[in-house]
Amino acid sequence: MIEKTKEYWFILVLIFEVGLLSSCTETIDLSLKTNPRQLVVDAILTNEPTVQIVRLSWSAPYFSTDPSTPVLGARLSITEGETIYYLRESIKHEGLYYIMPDVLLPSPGKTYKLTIDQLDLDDDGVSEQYTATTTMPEIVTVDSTNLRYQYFNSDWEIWQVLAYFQDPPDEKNHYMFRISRNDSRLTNLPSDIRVANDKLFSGWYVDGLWVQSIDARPDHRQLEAGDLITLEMAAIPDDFYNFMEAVKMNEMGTDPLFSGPPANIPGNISNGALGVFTAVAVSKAHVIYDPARHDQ
Amino acid sequence: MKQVIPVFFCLLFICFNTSGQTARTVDSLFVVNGYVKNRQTSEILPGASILSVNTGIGTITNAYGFFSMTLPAGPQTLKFTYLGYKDSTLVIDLKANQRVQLLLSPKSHHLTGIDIFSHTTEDQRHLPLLGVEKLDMSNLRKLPVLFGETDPLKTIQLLPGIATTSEGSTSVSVRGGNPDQNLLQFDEAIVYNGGHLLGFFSIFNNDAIKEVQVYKGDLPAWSGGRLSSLIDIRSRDGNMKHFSGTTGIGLISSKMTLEGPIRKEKSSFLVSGRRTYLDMFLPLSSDEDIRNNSLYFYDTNFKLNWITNDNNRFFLSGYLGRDVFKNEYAGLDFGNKTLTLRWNHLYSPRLFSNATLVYSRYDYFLQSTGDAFSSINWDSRLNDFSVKYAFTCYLPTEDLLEFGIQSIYHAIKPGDVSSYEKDQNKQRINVPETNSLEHAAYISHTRKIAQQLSIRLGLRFSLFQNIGRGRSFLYDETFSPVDTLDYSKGSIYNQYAGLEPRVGFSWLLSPHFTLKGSYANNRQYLHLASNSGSGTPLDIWFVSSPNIKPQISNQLAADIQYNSHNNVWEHTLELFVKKIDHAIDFKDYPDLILNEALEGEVRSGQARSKGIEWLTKYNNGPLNGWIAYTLSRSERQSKWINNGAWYLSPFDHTHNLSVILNYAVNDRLHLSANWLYFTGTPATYPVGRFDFQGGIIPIYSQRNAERLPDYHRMDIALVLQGKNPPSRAWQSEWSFSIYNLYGRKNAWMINFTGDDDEDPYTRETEMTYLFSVVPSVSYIIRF
Repeated sequence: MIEKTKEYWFILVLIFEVGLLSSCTETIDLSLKTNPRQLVVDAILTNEPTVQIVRLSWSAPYFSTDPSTPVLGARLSITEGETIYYLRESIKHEGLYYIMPDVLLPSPGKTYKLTIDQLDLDDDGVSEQYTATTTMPEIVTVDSTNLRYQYFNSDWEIWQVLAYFQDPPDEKNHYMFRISRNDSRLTNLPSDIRVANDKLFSGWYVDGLWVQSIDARPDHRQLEAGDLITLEMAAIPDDFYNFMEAVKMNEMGTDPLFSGPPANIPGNISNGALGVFTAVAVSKAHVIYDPARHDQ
Repeated sequence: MKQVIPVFFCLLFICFNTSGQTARTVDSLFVVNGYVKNRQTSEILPGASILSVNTGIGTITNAYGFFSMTLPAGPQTLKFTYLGYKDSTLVIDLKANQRVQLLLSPKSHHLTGIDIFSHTTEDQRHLPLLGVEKLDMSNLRKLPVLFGETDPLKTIQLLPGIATTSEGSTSVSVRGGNPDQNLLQFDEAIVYNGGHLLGFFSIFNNDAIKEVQVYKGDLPAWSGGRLSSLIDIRSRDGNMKHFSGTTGIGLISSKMTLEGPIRKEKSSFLVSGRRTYLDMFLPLSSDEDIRNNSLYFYDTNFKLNWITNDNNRFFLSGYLGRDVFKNEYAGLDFGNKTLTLRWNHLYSPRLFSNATLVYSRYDYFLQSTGDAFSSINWDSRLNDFSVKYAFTCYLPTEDLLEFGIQSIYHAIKPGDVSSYEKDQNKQRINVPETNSLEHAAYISHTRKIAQQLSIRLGLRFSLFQNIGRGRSFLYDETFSPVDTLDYSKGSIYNQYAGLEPRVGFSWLLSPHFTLKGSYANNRQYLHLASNSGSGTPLDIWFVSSPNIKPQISNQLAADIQYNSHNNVWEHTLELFVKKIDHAIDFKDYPDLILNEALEGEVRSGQARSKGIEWLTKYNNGPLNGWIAYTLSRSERQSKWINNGAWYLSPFDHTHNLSVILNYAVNDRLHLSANWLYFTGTPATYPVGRFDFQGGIIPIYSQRNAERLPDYHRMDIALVLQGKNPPSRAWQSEWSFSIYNLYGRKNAWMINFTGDDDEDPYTRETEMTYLFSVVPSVSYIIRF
């Protein structure tokens, strides 16, 4: 079970949907205004020995059905301490800028500064500069993971992915949870990512926290016997936690009863750019799906 | 507070003196006082007007039906009027102070129409208060209603300047203010949540209510603690003459009221109850999840009152209401309890006093069960204990001196949650209790300077104290708590005090025109942690503290009133400007649930609103009605919200129009219709989107920069009384109502959706509306 308060909300929604029996929903046409385009940064550095990627794109009209336009030709650098590392622009994947792990392998406790320049967003002939800074938190090791089958109702039948770890005492910790099946990530979208703070278990040994879910409905089963499930638990900076929390809240939609006005997701890029530049410390645990053990 | 007490005794002394001595020294003047009552039931009539025909001196009865006036010796003709009742005159020969009791008989509805306003035009003109309306409950049930439930809190939304917070809600916004800025009182007890069933029904059973009086910001000095309005609801006293009752069967609920004398003309009782049976229909649902739910509310009222002698009268009244929701995973129940004891005492013919003791409680309890979740118990409560002593001194001139003191003890337990998770220890979140005291002392002098000019000078002093045991946090500039301070039991660790001047005048320019003006300063120390438009049962009230300054409002208002010959037409045009300092608002995506450091989510700022309110009443026998139109703008600003720019209040409606028409076809048949229109509620829409980790994230407009589609609907009602021969011991009545007659789909919310797994770039606009055409019927029997 992730983030208790979210669960409370869920219970409330269960209760209150009854109260809204007579409500009806329909799709309408609404024309929306469009703000001038803005730079978008999408970058999650990790301590794993992989290529580190920063993706740049332009914001788009809300109802645009195309992926965002990639930003080409920018100069990107990441500063660690006194050293500046320049990123290379991918030719194959437009808008991706990367650095190989043998050049830069981010590590916990260190601070990274992203600098983006040689971009002229407002076409005034002068290029703007965008920066963002992040510090990778210390690793919190996930000891193990497990699956627990849970039937709520016919639309909601899942394996709960459980995490076992010691939350460091006397400090605020924030976590992000993602899962993979064999080698492919099941949590591909921001809406699949779960984040949590340690408000409810600060300093405790966390003994099987429900942190992710895998669909177990007969016609949607995502697992087969022998599948290797990997839980990626990352210690994340608090501004990234706030960013992801806002993404979650935003996904819940708005209604006059429980939610206030929606608001922009608070990023950490300077100069009015959107998105986030963060560094997370990943720890992994595995479990092999065994129907005999995990289906009851 | 210490300085207040001598002033208080001084006032008492003056009043004793004037009342006792003047009448004797100036031996040609005597006091006439007494009560005005309903002839059929002996219930008191508050707000009845009394005019001495010989001298032109007039007054009105107070909330307890009492009046006192000083008149010259000799024969006096007193004329008593009360809306909906036959006028009555009383001739007395005044030789000494005299006590009178006047009984008025109700008129037939065919003659009066169904006028819900119960201030007479003449009284309204003289009253140096602005934006006050008094509604007569007995007529409210003739207006169209949703699901057959008559609702005073929905009826007041038909007045200018008062708007619903969202479709079908009993929660109101007065002049763009937050719902928590309304002081909702039931028999002087503060009611913290006025809604049943997510606010779609008010907690008040109209059969138990006598009257509702609404003050829009220009609060009398005896009231305070909220910025926007006072909604003063008073219960009926119970029939003093004979046993009677009312029972009603409606679409979703049934109710019953019984009343009668305990000792004739001395004491009476009233008990009333209502319960919904919506849950009985749930098993009919095809959806299994819905079938297993239970969902109902009930409320009960009682009142006892007894007259011990000419100078003493007691009232004891209580309310208990509860909502219960349950399904296989969880349960929630919540409700209000209030208990009020009042003692009316006449210290002298001119000095009326009322002492009030109040207990009020709002609580909710949430529980999750079953295997699916860990079991959770969630408990939250707010307890109020209040004592009030109010004096009204009727000075020899037509002056009225009101003064009194009040103290409220608020004990708030925002939330205590414990849970047992499988294979795990007990987890607990306990947001610490807060305790506080809210004191006030006030004085108000209403004076008739000339026959045409009345003024009111009021001053309220309020003092708010945070008392231990308590905990507060020190926050840094990013609103993160950096230190915790704990205070021992009984210690006063913070206080705020302030003077709240309230003044007004009314000037009768001509027999047809009246000009009024007022200024009011209000302070609010108790706030609701909610950033949603409408209320939920999960209210968390929090108090001013070292981190949260009291909200302070200043309101200037002026109106001009025209009443035609015979008062068939009455037009009022009122202008107001209001400014609020330290207005409470919250950061984007605030964490308001179970947050110990809730204060860190607050981003206080300022608010302002201005508007023109136009009210035209038409009352011509069987046909009457009114038009209420408001043109207004309400905005807010906070350094930390919306980049510091002003944004619209979520309750801003540029135009708001209500047209209400009632027609009494004959003594048995009443028709009523209304049409409502208002500018769409402010909303925040996406103005772009960006890609992040394979999904899309919307970019939003400035806060509340867009609007939902405009709202409008029409409702009609038909009330048919049974033939009801006078010989029969009971009378019956059918009510038929259609809500949203032409089935307008008014947007309740608009969301932008898509299926991320399919294609994150395909988005749709989804509009949710609550009610289409909703017919309802109810049947009432009176005996």
